[in-house]
Amino acid sequence: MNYDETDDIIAKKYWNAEPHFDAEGVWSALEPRLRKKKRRSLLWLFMGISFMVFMAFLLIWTKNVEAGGDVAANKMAKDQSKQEKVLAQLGNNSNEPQEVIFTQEEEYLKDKSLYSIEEHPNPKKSTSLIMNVNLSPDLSLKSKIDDEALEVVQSISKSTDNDSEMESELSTILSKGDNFDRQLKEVLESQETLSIEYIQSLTTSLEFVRSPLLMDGVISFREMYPSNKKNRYTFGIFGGYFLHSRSLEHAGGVNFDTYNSRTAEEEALDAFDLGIRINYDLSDHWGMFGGLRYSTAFVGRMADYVYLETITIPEYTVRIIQTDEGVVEEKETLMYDGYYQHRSNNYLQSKRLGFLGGVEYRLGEGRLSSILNLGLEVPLWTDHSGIITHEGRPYNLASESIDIHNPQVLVYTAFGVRYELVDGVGLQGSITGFLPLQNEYNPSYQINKKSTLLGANLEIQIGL
Amino acid sequence: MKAALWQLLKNRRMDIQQLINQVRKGMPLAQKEMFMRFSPELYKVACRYCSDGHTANDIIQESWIKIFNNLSTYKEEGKFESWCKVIVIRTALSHRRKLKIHVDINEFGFDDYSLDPQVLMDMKLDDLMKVIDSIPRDYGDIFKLFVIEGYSHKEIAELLDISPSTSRCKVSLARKKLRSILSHNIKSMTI
Repeated sequence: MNYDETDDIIAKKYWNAEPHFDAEGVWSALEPRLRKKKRRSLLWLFMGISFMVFMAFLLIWTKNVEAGGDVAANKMAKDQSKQEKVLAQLGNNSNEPQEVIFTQEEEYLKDKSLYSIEEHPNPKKSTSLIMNVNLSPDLSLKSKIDDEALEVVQSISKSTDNDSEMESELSTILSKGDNFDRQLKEVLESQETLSIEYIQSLTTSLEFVRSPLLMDGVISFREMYPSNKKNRYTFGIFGGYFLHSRSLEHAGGVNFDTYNSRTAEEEALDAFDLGIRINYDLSDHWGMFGGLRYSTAFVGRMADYVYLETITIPEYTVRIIQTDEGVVEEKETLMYDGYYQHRSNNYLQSKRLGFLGGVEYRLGEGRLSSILNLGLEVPLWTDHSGIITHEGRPYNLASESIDIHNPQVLVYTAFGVRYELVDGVGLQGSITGFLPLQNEYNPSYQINKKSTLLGANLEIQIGL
Repeated sequence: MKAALWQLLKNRRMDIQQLINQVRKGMPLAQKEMFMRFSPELYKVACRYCSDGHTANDIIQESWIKIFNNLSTYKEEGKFESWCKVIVIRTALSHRRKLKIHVDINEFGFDDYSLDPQVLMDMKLDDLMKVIDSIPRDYGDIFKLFVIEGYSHKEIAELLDISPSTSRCKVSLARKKLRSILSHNIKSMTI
């Protein structure tokens, strides 16, 4: 017996071994360990945010100490200047102390600037800690068939554990079109309703605004609680850099926003925005803005549930028959109408470069101020592509790739109201929305169905 | 309910590349699908390097954590299964090193005994595994990598950070050792 023979016999013995593997048991032990790592990364995120907050307060405290000295020196110089001017008005050049008496209130008001320390030319000089509470209703036309479909699948599942038997039973139901089938159809058709889904989120962010060169950096953590009870964790980083001058509200800015969303086991969303925007004040109330926005979005979804839907699948059968009269070609077309239990996987990648332009109107009285933005985003370049995979029974459909070029003009609207409770502390509410003008095929349709997202947020801003 | 649905959907196989992309996106369900699809074969591999099923389960868990954490480094140059298999083997060998089992290589000598193929064929796998595990670990592991996993000496050298000639030498010694032990066993049974 040579070595090769020995090796072969040993190898075959090992290969033919079929050790029992408790896959579900091992997975249930492994799964918590995988999730544990995520929690650890969230902990790091919180620690990072806490560190930033600490550093911000340290920075603010240091700045305030320095600023305090400047203010005192400035005040002394102004007082000196004021005293000299008043004395000159009185025609008294003596250095002896004089009592300054204003006989008319108007005169005092006219000369008020002499008695006050000038305000900073840029009121935006502040460092703010902003806490956002968002409430976003998601208006969607959704087919509420999932639960019904699950019940059907469950009822069939209970009758047998065998996959092929289950498939056979389902096929039989579908092919017969019996009473059960009709009842199911009625249920499905009656359940397509307009639903409103609220997504609540809590955002904490820290924003720095410094003039005349404004820097704006926000790190935020958002935790969203959709009404379907599935937790959605999102975190984002927003960074920006803005130039500022007196004539231009924002001479230029660049910002990016990236976030990652996980809806329990079913959806992933990555988005990246990069934009530049210029604001110009036409008057006290009116302003205009224009800019470019580049955005990418990746949406992936692997459905965790089974649902049934009515489909029509054409099947063509072609038979070539050789007869005495020659070759005869027979064509047969079959149309199946049935309930399709399926699972869908969608991956959609969307890229868009758009020009954003519009006008804004500001109104303010006392502590109340409001701003309205209205604009259009016109696509300069778009690229949407993706893959949709349907898998299901009793019919299996292959994956289809989609490549869509459907530039959409978006209407951009934003309305915000702010009430300043005390100096530097305000309540702010705003509603923003991107509404598509065209209602053609939209990649997001596959994910969000027919939905238009309107967002509203209540913001508590504490100026420091 | 989820388990039932999973059972219902388990045969719905998607393309491996799509699955990898989903796992890279961190989708838990995709992770489970990947685990369920590849674990049975990987478990077999783990069993070859473990003395019991409990240890093999631990190896599989450790390996999957490594696979999920390092999926971004998978270059898609070779088969995904092979990449996973290497991770399982590395994890198992690393675990074995910690056990520090010492077996004297000189026991039973190195005489090249002839062996009746039928004896080997009739032998139960458990008995064969015990015999192979009685070979010093370095020799036995390389022998398994060469004979059972089918790796070349060059591949083994890269995997274990040794030279190909060392691998070749140890496989040869392991073969002799194996024959020697088997012959002694047969003799003792005959007597």
